[in-house]
Amino acid sequence: MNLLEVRNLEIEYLTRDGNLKAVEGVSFSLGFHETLGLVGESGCGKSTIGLSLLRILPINARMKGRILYKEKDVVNLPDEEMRSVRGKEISMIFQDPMTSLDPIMRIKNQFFETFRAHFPKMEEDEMFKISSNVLKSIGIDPSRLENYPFEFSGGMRQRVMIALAIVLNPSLLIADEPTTSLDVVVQLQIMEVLKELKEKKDMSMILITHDLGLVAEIVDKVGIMYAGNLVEFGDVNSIYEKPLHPYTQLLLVSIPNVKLEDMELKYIKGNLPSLKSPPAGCKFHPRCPFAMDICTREDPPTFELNGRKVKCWLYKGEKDGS
Amino acid sequence: MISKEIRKGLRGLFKDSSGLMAVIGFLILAFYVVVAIFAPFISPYNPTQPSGPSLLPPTISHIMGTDNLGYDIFSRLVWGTRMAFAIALIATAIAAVVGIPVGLLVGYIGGKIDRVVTMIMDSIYAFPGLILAIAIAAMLGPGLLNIAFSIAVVYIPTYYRVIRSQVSTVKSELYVDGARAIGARTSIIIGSYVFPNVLPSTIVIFSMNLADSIMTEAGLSFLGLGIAPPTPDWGYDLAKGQQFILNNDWWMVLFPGLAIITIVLGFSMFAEGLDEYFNPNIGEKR
Repeated sequence: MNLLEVRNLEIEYLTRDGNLKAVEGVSFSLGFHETLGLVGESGCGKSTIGLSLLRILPINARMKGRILYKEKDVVNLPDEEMRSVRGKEISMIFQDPMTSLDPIMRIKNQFFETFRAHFPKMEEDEMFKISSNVLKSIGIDPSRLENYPFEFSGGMRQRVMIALAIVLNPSLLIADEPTTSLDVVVQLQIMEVLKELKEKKDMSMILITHDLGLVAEIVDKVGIMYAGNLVEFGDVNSIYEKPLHPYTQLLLVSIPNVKLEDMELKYIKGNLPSLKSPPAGCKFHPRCPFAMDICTREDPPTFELNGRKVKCWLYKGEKDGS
Repeated sequence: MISKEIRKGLRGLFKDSSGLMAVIGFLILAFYVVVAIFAPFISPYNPTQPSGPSLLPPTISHIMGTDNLGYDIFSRLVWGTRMAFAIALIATAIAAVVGIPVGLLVGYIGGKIDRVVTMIMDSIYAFPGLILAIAIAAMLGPGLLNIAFSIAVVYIPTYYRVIRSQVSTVKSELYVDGARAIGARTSIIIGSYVFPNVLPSTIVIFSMNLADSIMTEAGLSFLGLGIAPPTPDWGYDLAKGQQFILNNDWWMVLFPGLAIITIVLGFSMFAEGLDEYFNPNIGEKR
């Protein structure tokens, strides 16, 4: 049994001028104590997947497909049961630590609300003790429980967010671009915290990011997303060594490398296609250097190659081991 | 609403000293609160009994004169303070108790319910306040609670609109998503996360509506739809005085009118000062 099994997930946003397909036929699985990196440009649907796992999408979103968490179908779970999963089983860290804590609530109370949501009868003393320990383990002095969010720096707030997310020992932690709005030094510190969590806790993680380089060190598996599709999925080392999908290849060469003399920044030409009127065929073909005839007409299926998955016509007919 | 115009004028007057404005407003209100509390000790005569000759101009014994029935106007004004506060507070409280929860709930849920409720509230809001209050008051008849209720109906949409629009901003804040992500119940999210964040604006509307409802109450009493005489009431006294104005009996209109103006000014200044205190960038925007 896998911890998480996502099958043919489709998410649409109903908007005033038409429906927008944010996620299209995404399937992947995540084992116990495994870490997955979901990588892609802004707007490719990676955050939407994160929110859908907790079923906290905005109300104009429609979900189809299956999300099996410990064999429970998240898509069709009754509301109250779903609520008891949030925070206790699956929890989430958000992108912007400056706004993801209630500005007028003491840190202490934000912890207490988490406990109360799942253990209404717990004593405050006990809540306080557990919160203190978790904060300490993450490098924040427990005395700061009495403080308000504005009294913390960005990096500290993100630590508090992480502490809040793990205080009930969830089995799955989703981190939605946890370091995007932080400066580089703090980014590394937060990544260290996450790495330590991965080693010490019995917890799976999904790291949503646009920075392939940043997550490479901690993740076991990587899923590359483009325009709502999971275009490549596989184990982190093999993806780094031999990226299959043209998009992944381009993403990897566009990571700036200061050691090379050729300092020119490489980037992928063109923009993400509109999700309201996506191009026919493969969504990446307008930007793809290897685009063939068939790419403009037919959406490629997902091919399996050496246990990796790739959604690209280049790999049609290739067998394992090639 | 009239108090909105007053507030606009005040803002010009006290451009850089909203603190001073709030203090002056507070002092005026404090004065009236003291008068209301100690009415039995302050008023020299029984306000519902003749205490001298009728239509007496201001003298030492009757500092604001007497009316056509010989009632002491000063005593009536002092006791009328209680009525003004009672009605304003009850009306505003009813409006808040209905408008705030509905605004919170509807704003948070959104969607179709939001459109329907907002349409209803907007149509009440679009109706001229005093006319709506007159219609309801005429239907319910006189009496303190009836008057308060008919005024409350007028002010429910003010709460609703402000709360709803604030909630619809606050609910898309990341910390509300965060609250959902920790598994908090919807009631907790609304009560502990959303409500405290929209509370400051309700305090400002509360004091602003108090000013408006005093005006509306005076208007209703002026038209004879208020508290039944001879209970002391500023609007009623003003209306009565107006009948004798051609007689040159100016004191019957001047003093009740002054009382109404000053208390409304007090509330307005206090509200405006609070508003600037809670939203420090208000002055810059205009």
